[in-house]
Amino acid sequence: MPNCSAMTLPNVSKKSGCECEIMEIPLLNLESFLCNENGYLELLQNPTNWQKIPFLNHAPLHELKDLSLVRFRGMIQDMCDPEIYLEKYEVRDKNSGSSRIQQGKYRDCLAVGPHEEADLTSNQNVHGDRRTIFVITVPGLNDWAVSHERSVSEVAIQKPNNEAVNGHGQKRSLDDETENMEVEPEERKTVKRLCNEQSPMRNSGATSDNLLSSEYLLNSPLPDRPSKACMVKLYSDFDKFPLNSIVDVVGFLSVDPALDGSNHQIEDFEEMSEVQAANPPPSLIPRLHAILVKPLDHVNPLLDESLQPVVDLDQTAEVIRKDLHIILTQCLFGDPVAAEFLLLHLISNVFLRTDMQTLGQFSLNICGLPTGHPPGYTTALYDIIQSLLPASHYFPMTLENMNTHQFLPKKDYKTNKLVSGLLQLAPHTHLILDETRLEPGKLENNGVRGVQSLADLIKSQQIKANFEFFEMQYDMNIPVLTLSEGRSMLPCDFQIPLKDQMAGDTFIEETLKAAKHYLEPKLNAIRKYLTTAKLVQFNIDPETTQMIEQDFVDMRKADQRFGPDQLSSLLILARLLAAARGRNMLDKELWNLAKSLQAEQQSRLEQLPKRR
Amino acid sequence: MSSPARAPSTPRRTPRRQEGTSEIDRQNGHKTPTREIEAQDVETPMRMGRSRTARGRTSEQSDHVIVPPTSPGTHSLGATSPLRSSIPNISEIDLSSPLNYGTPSSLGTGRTPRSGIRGTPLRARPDIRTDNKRMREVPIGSDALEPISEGRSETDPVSESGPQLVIWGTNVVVSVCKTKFKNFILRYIDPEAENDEISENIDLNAPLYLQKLDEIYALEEPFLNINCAHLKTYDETLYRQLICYPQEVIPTFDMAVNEMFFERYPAAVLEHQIQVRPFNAEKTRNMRSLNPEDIDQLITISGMVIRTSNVIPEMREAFFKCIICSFFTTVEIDRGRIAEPTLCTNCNTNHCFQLIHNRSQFTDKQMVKLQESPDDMAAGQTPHNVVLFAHNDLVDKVQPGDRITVTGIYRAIPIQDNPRARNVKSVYKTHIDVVHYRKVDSKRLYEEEEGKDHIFPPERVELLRTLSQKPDVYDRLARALAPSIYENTDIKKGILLQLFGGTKKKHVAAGRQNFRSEIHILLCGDPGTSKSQLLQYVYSLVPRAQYTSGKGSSAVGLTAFVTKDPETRQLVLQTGALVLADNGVCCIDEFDKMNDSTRSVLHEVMEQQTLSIAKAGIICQLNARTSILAAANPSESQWNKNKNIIDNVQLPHTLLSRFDLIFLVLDPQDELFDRRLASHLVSLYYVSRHEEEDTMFDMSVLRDYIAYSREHIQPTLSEEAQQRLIQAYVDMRKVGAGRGQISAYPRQLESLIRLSEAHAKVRLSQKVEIQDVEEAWRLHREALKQSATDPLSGRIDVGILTTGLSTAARKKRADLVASIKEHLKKKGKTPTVPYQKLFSEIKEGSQVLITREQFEDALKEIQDEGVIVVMGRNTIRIC
Repeated sequence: MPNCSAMTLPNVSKKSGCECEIMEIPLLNLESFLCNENGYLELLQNPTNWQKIPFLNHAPLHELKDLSLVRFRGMIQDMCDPEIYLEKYEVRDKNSGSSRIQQGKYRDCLAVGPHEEADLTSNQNVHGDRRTIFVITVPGLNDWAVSHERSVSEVAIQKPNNEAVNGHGQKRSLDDETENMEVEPEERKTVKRLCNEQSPMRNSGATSDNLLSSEYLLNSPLPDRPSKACMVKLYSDFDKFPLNSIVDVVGFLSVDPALDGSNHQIEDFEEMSEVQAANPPPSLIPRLHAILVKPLDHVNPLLDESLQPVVDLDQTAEVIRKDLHIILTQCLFGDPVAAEFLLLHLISNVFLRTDMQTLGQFSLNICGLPTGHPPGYTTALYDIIQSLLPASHYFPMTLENMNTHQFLPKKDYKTNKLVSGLLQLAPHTHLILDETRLEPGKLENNGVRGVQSLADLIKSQQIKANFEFFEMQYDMNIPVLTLSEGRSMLPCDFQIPLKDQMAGDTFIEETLKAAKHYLEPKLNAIRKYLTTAKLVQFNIDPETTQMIEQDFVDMRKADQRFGPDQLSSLLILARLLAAARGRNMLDKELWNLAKSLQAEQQSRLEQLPKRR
Repeated sequence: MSSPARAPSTPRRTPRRQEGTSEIDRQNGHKTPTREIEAQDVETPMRMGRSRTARGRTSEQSDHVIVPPTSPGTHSLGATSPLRSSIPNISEIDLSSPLNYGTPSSLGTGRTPRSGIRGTPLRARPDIRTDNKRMREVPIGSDALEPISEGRSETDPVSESGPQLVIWGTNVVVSVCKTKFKNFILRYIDPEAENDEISENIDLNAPLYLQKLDEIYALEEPFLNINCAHLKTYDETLYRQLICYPQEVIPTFDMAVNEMFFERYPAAVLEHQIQVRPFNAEKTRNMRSLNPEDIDQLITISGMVIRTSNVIPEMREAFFKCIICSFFTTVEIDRGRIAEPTLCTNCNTNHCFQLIHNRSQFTDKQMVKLQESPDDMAAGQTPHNVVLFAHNDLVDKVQPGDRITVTGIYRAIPIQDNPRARNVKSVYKTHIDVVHYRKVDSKRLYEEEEGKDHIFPPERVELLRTLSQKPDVYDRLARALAPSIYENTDIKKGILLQLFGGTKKKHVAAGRQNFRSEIHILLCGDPGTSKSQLLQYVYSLVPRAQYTSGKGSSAVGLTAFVTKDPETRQLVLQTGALVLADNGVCCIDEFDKMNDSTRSVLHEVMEQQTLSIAKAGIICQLNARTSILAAANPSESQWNKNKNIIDNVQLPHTLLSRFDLIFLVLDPQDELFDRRLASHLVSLYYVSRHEEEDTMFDMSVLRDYIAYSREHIQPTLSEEAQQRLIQAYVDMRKVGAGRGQISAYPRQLESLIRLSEAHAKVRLSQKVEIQDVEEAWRLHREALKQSATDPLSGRIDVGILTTGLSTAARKKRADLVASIKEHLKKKGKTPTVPYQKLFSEIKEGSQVLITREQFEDALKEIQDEGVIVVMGRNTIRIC
């Protein structure tokens, strides 16, 4: 595979005929891609081809070559300023004086041979602009999803790789090293070797005077669960992808060590930290020149094969739901109603957003956890939940955590980076807040703001990123589950007090263990079920509408307090109940079930001690 | 291409002077010989900078003839390329060099008296950066506007028509450009100049820029700001040239202005020659749309300053001294590089030069980071930044947090890691060299939005106009407002009118500065009637809106407070919500929970639209031309039907009367309403809603419509409308006599006028017509539910709200219906009854007076029950 060498370049310069042969996708190189962009893009539409591309999320960087085609999946964490670059430029041979036009798209470095020189002043040069987005692997992606992703990508890649070994001398060892998510230190050397035109003394010792830590550069929203990062350069559709959305990117890798900003020359008005933040070491944060970007609805790797929108649930939905319901009931001290609410919470999704309203969120507060519950109960419950969901995060609301954690993303103007915060999570990442860990004490400034931003998130599914001079609102889709002993201090859409049905809660630990064991063989089915139910399309027929209207009028007659808000929550309940059963229509039976659930919830809430 | 002509005229070089560098001035005098040597010494292997030799300067003694170079080489002519190659070896004139005007005659005479164009030193313009730009003299025919082909330069250099300066690679003929610009200054009159462009004693009907020259003379501030929009209306070609080749055209303008200025004021003393600063170029408005095509062009963008650097001294001219023979020379900085001279021409030693810092010349430079304003971004994006470089006077003109509009030249510079190393990255660094800052200052607040005039593309205006022609535009707009909030149409209409506002009037002659054009609205009513949601919606719709809650705000938070800056120990006035919402809407929730002292602040703001501050040594009056949208709960949290409005609201009457509209939002408690509400909610949750909605007015159209109307429509009252208003006011006075009513004051008349004007604005009509007044009058009554108020007690009869009848009237009708039924029963089996006969019989049988209307209403009710059918005017059939 030619990497930025001058040898294959003349082909391109006389490319009027454009007769590059169609290469297999995983071996595609930049030159042949430029010859036939549309043809290759079409090939890439095929998911099997897509799958064959090395997956940067898991493949160790040193096994990938500069300018090779790779795939990366993650959440858009930040967006950088536009770049103006040389899209086409004239390269002159110093010896012969002849010149050719070189394409500058999809690469960072100027492609000039050892005896060549780029003519920056040529009038044949064309300038283009591109945008860089900062993509990090989906924060809070659970272990099972990670390992599944990895195993799938390994299987897919190995096949073409074996064929390629003799032809291209490509070496790829998929040994146990891949397990190690961290970037190996020797990688730097490897990369250097790959880029043959690099002056050798360039980055010797350069890493030592880095001003910014790698944690800062990687910018993970959940510092204890670090994510990988990648800077993706977009060449079109600049404003198509909003912040925090999940994308799958295919593009050309660029890991030339020269891109490291720590050895750039700094002009006196520039700040080293800013230059470094904009140009982190590529060994830590590789660059990816995107040729294709796909927005993703979900991150469940089990439903990944097609990358298509999920189809309707089949008949098995009801069976799976019942199983799940039984397990959840056991986990919640044998309370079937709370289990039903939890199940609905797990499949909730913001499905509509108008200028003022957000519809579909189902933030849940399970309160009234028995005071004597074993200390490990909440984490054990979370353990079950995280084994079901592709992405989730457990946040114990201890005083210390509240006072020290950064909740909202904040713009750091020194480095021009949007420093991430706990709440900058990808859509459908469940956030589980453990309020039982909160003790009386002093909530400091940061903690108070944290509570405020959590409340904002729950109420409107929006976060306000701090841009110092103003705040920017970003739409989120994070279901929030709060576990508390009394009423939660945070707002919520639904609150369900637990009713302890099992007399001896000392057994709860055993129950949870048993539940986990019982779940084991069914996990994949449940995982698929939950994601599918989340994305189900929904409708209602006019008859049911009329029935609901009549019901509302009657209920209002019976109780003046029953207002539009109550109707709204009833409608959400009914919608989720139907979705959980794999249906996309609402019927009377489900409507009545929703009503009874709400009535049960109301009566339990009334028994709770009144809030002052 | 062969050698271009050299100028036969020998322009001279005036030394550049930085202020306070008389020392260097004198040096310059001695320097002349050096220059000659340089000029002749074309073949010196290591020249003192490419730019220097290329410039072809001649000294005063023209016996040193520069050899015209034979071939300029294969350089590009691409004017749009960001890095126009520096063009060596052509007889050119450096625009930044004073060669073009000015003589050394002022040299020997020292600096006093310094007047006239020759005496006034020229100051380099790093913002334009003319270092490597040259003009070329090309003799062409008299038809100067024709594009000059390259071939023409071959003609005889000393042709009869005389040479004309042409900017390299363009069709800009310098002399024509100058003449045109002079004409522009002489003739341009703008009766509608903007506020910050005119100073106090400027006559709008005289040439604007001539008066500005007067101003320069008077104030001795040698900068002339030119509004590009003016230039565009005056001469489109010249404007194009300015936008595309600012680097060349602006210096040409400079020359023209200086010539004019010193012709008019030969005795004027200026610090340096006048510099032209164009602004308001329409090229680019949005940072997001900056692209490679804008490179090296004049652009205008707006945004917020987020960071400013310290002042950086930038070397402009390096001073070198030979360590052997003390011979010295200066080298100009070319694109940030110093071409260090290696060979001393005096003693022929190699590598003997030393840089003398304190004799080099520096200019001030500052890096400013500008961030795009949030309004320019699509949802879900992060704001972009752009780097600005400010030079000389413009340094330290802006602070972080300022919202500014910048005009400047967009630049792209390749990133070079190391001067010796090859470029590795194909990326350019971009920045804007600032030519002009326009701050959003107090003078400009007449305008709608921060520093940004809405310039709607013609298609958009066309669309808005078409929409305004729709007969139901008012209803549509009202529906488009907060579509997720159910019904409450009249409240939405009220808020709509508030967003449009009345006509701005000034009656200075009558002794009143400002007539308030803003409309204030109070929403008052039962909890849970989506008042707060409406407030939130308005807050999100209007660009300059503030949202506060009465409970959480103090008077200080609303108005302004004084803080001490810890660094400078300066007192700083921080503005509160009301001032921040100037020209916008201030939404105040929980208005009733606000304490009295806070509320009292509002008295001044609501009527006078100003805010007076007198604290901590700062006494001032701030503008607070804000509309107030407040929401309050009744004092007993639920509306008490047995109390009148004043008792329910419990707000001081003085404050209440300042609200144009007070809406009572009551829970109607009606089955039909409930049913419709339910179906509305269900549709939200289940039907793909976007299809059924009015797609014509989405939020952006609504926003544009309002902005357009607010800016362009200033309706006046028509004769009929005036009469109707008078009538309405008189009626109001009559009704308001009863106790507990909001009685009518002249204020209410003003409100009516404002509302009518706003309604005319909704129709994009320049005339207030009778329909506008009718609607204003209806809304005004509707708001207070005056129709539902029992005029005797001042209480609201909720029955009236649902049925349109008061309790008493309803009882009367029920009696009537019963008696008619009774009567018909008595008639027995007759299939039809004559109408008139029945009416008279009933009338006779009743003890109270029954009008024909009442009778008809009753009949209608019976008909609805299905007992009878009214056949035409005369017969009633019994079923």
